[in-house]
Amino acid sequence: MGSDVLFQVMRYDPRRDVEPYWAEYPVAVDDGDTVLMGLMRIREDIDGSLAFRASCRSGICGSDGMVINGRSRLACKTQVAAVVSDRGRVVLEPLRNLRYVKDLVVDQTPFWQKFRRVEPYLMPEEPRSAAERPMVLPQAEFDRLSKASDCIFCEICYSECPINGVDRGFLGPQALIKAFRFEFDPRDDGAAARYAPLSNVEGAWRCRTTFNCTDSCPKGIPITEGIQRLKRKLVGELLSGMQPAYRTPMPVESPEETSS
Amino acid sequence: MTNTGKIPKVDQTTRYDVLVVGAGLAGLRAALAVDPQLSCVVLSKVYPVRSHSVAAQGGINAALDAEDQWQHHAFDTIKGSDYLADQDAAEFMCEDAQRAVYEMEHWGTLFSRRPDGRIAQRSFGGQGYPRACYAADKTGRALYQTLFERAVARRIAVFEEFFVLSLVVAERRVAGVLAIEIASGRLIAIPARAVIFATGGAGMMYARTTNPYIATGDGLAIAYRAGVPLKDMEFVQFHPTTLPGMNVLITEGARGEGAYLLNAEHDRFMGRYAPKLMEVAPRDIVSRAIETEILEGRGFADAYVHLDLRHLGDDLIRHRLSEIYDFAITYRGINPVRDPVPVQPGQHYIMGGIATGIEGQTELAGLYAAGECAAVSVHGANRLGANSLLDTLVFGRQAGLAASRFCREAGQGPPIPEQHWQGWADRLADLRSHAGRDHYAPIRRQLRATMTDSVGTFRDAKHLAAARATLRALRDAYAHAGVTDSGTVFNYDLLAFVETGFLLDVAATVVEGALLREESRGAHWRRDYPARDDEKFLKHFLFTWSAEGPVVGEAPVVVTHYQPKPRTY
Amino acid sequence: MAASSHPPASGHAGAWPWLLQRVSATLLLFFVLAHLWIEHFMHVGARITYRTVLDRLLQGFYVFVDAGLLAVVVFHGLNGLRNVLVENTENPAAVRAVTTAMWVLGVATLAFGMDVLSPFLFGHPWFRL
Repeated sequence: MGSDVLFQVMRYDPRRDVEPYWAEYPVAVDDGDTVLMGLMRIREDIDGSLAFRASCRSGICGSDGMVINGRSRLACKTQVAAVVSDRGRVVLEPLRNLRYVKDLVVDQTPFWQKFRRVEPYLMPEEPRSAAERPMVLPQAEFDRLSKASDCIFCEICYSECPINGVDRGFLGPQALIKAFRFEFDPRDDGAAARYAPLSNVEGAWRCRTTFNCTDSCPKGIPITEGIQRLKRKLVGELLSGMQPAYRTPMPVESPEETSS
Repeated sequence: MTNTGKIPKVDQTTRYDVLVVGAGLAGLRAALAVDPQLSCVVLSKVYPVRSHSVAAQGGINAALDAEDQWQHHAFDTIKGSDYLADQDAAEFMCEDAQRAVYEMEHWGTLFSRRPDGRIAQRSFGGQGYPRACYAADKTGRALYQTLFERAVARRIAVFEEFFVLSLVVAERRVAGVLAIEIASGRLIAIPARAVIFATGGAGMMYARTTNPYIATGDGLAIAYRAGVPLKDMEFVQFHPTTLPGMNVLITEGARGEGAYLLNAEHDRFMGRYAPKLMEVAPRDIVSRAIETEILEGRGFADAYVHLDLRHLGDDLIRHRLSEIYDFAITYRGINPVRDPVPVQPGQHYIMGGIATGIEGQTELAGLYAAGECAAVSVHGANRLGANSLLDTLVFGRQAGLAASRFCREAGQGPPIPEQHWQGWADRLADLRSHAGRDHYAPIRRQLRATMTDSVGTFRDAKHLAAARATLRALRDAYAHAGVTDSGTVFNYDLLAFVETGFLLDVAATVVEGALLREESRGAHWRRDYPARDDEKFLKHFLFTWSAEGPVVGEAPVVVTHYQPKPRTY
Repeated sequence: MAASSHPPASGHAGAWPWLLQRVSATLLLFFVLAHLWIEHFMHVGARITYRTVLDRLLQGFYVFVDAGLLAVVVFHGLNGLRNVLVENTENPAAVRAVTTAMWVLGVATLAFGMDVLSPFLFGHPWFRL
């Protein structure tokens, strides 16, 4: 093992503590080690009661978003060496703009509710068929959609967005980039169903283009650009007199039958 | 959320018709196939999108081209399995592949495309035709997001962050599950007429693994403890190319696109192991080749070889291999456009699992399994790349359909008997109130070290017997171990403790099978028995739980059209 | 958990201010450039007297530029100011109050500005303040 680095972690157990407090752990860290590896060492060797979410270790599952030395990042994609220099230690706090629960754990419920509000799926569901459906898109346009669908639901944009901080109703960057991904898919026909949740004061229009989401996104998605394109599309729909369609729950399908 | 400070009581919730455990690809596909007239709920110990399906990179196999046929895909799969796959199951999967892929496209998956707009396909290990459909090198995420979105559209109920402890069996059929609500620590018994396990793998029993922290063999161990047999557990896949250190996966798609494997002498060594297929030979063969190079001193100092992508060009790497481009830079500071990437084999997949039939059914009435935690078995002794995503979609759907039929035919299930949850309630209360006993973490660490050192790519009787003894000692130590966190809210310490117990049970079956199988087949390579022995071992091992350790039974391999032949590439 | 369908929020709120801010910004660019051109390049060397200014203001083009510049500046500025003021509030009544105040202020400013120009247009002021 290499040198010891001090991890300063915000801790709080709602069952035991009156208020959050700082705990400090010296952690042996090698070159190239991530913050998550340090946290795992704390949990396994120093204090098993430290609560944080983690799964894939490689920035794909989006579990371990947290505030590391003042900025929201993924612990598994942040090297200790890259952040330790500015404060001489690693300071860990829970994500912002979501209710604090325990140690580094926040309540993600509003985030998921907002995601669901934009009806985030391809509409309509095509009738089942075994036929291939070719999709020809200019490469740049395909790349844009593909990039938008890289979102791993890590909530870092939600935590860094100042509007989410002052306005609990704002959909947030993630729900909007998800809407973008479908609104610009040539196979999609859900614009009317998404019009109401997107085109209102808590929807796309609440975005103030601070670019915090774009700057902080661990997958490098140009979120702000996507939201701006979404706004332009919504204005087009407004001027063309689109009538919002309020979605009714999906009709109950007949049960699938076994094939062959 | 309840924070009463007291030991929480058991709640009995609403009854469900079908309860799915695990919200990865197999679990969600199962839930989507459940008859909408029935009540269905999905339980997941993490938020669904954290499931490891999202980490799959390379592709999903399907014979789409006019020149390709599903029978060829089936043959490649069976040959890849070293003839241990049940051939009827493999044929079923390959025939259903085209439907599965087009269905996902219709639901919205952004597959990479050919210039004419059709779904693009690339070469993959052990395939005689480029039939892996892909979405850059993030195929799992693309497919998963589509299924997740479909589940949102269909308003499928998900209990997020619920950890399943045990399967409740009464009157010789499934009665439901017992789970902990992680946010509150509350024990909850959920009655259901049918239960589908789609809980994924158990890679956390290895130190060097591409698997996530959550891959702790929960479903395997829970079914095993409930008396359901596990099958083919000795077959553990080691992926040839993982980044040393974190063992983050470097997709087989990289080799499918044409990347070379080079040893320290700049020799493209695969020519000596698989002269025809070279780098795109099946994973067991490539992993052994790399390990051999390293063991014979032709690797680099920290036990790795080089994966050279440079000749593929900047554009291909950034577009079709964008994730691994990012990984190499993030975790090793290496730009694959300019420098070769260090790679070493790491545990990746378990071919074995809960013994199921083609409809996902198990020996226990009402219990179904699909995905990595199940062994149908289509992968036999070695899974081909890009067949696991296919497995989840095809057999997840099968399990959902079969569970629905079961609900229609089998009537109401039995209620959950009180003694079933009382044992767990007492055990958890005891753990919480005796915080400070020896921590489980050293046990888990030793388990991982033992499995990686002695039950890896190359095995022999001596090391396996030692591993078995170590595992028994660890099990004894585990009986007296405990946790640090006495709390109820988000007590991950307690979950990891229970998971360690699961892993110990699963690991015992792996070692037992590896000892008994005195031959080399697929991913299971015995130094002391380096040849395949169809005479004695063309059969599955079944592992049934007992207090003393796994009891081993046997089952025949289903052969339809393909007689076992020597396996060369 | 399955999401309940969310009650639809009010129709186009947010779209018009956003769109008009961009439209007014584009117009602003035109009017400001026109204004600068007129003031600095169109009458180079000419003596500025009450008479010359009066002559200019009797031409529709100058009135159009001045009135347009005023209207666009007032709208763009107040719309922006409104954005700043409502940024930290979630209270719909407060938002409505600010919006109303901005409209009153804007219309009053416009009326005052036009009143200054009005003697040149009609020969007498609109109002006697």
